[in-house]
Amino acid sequence: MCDDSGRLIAWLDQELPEDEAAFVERHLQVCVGCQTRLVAYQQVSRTFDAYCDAEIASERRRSLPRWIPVMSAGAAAAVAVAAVFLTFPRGRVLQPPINSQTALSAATDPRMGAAHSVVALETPPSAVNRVERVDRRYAAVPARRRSAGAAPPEVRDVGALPAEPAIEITIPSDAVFPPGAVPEGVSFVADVILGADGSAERLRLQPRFVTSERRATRP
Amino acid sequence: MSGETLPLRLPLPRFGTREGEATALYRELRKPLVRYLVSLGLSGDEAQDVVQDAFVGLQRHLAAGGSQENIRSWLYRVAHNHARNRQTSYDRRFSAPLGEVDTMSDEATPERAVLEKEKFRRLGNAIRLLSERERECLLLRGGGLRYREIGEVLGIPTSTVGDTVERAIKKLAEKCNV
Repeated sequence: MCDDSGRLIAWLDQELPEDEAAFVERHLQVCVGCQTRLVAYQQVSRTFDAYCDAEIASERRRSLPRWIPVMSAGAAAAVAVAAVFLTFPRGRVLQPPINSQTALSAATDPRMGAAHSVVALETPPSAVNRVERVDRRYAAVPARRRSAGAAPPEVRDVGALPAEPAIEITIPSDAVFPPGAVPEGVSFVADVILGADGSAERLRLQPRFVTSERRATRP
Repeated sequence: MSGETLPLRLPLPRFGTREGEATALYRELRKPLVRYLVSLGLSGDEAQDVVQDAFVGLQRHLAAGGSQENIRSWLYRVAHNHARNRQTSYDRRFSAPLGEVDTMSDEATPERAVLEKEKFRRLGNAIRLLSERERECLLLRGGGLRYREIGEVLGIPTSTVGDTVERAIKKLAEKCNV
């Protein structure tokens, strides 16, 4: 290494007396090694300063007031609670069996008093609609399974559109079979599942016991 | 803490410097002082507090008829000593895990960011190999202090500052291979 390289940094920092500085400048014009070293020292100085700046920036980010994350967490918790409260009524409507059974019983059972009917009527319209929506979704399957149950299925229930892509059609037995071939009160339900092109993909006939009220109205 | 006015409004009758000049001094030196103290290892809040204390001390110093020469090195020295008294682990700043220091260039290309990160990593390693005195000299030099002022802050001769700075820069250049 060149003997004069020792004063390069002091020259860079403008700390040399004039005569010494002039000597270094003259030397730099002829010494390639010192020119290279000078560039390296300049680069290191700049990088050191940039490193310190970056450290200070990192320190600023690290020393954010502690209440900021706490506030963020608090705000998130508040939003979560608000969301739960806002969606809670909808969640409660998803208890259809009790409400629908009560309403259905009150409407169909003559032994149920006026009080029950009133209760059913007092149910908010929106809630009734939602309950119906829930009932409709499962209309096809429970209606068949309930045939021997306490709550007799209504034909209009069967006609309700299920959520599944199937069409359910009630066919009177005397329209298909000769009179007397099928016990009275039995009709058939045809489940038709349509394909994507609109054709019938599957057809299934199932016997169904029609309600006494309906039989009573028949001639 | 981001205000640019003096922390205290003590009477300045014997200062020989008007209040506007003192405020200008505060504006000029507050950030470099905080920068130096944070580089030494203080947290941002600690550094702000130390700088406030230093300026309060300066007002008292001048009010008591202290010298008005070399105010900058006086402030750095007081801040430096405050920092030394507060600091429990003096080397905390440069003993942080590697890679914790983010690079500065948000707009750089990914390749440049990688190169810069690598450069910082090597420099961080090299800085850890410096002595405490060498780091202090480089930090004060980076703050724009002359060798004479650095000597006043650290209580060492100017020639020693020159030798220390030279030695430190050469070590870094060697280790960083730039």
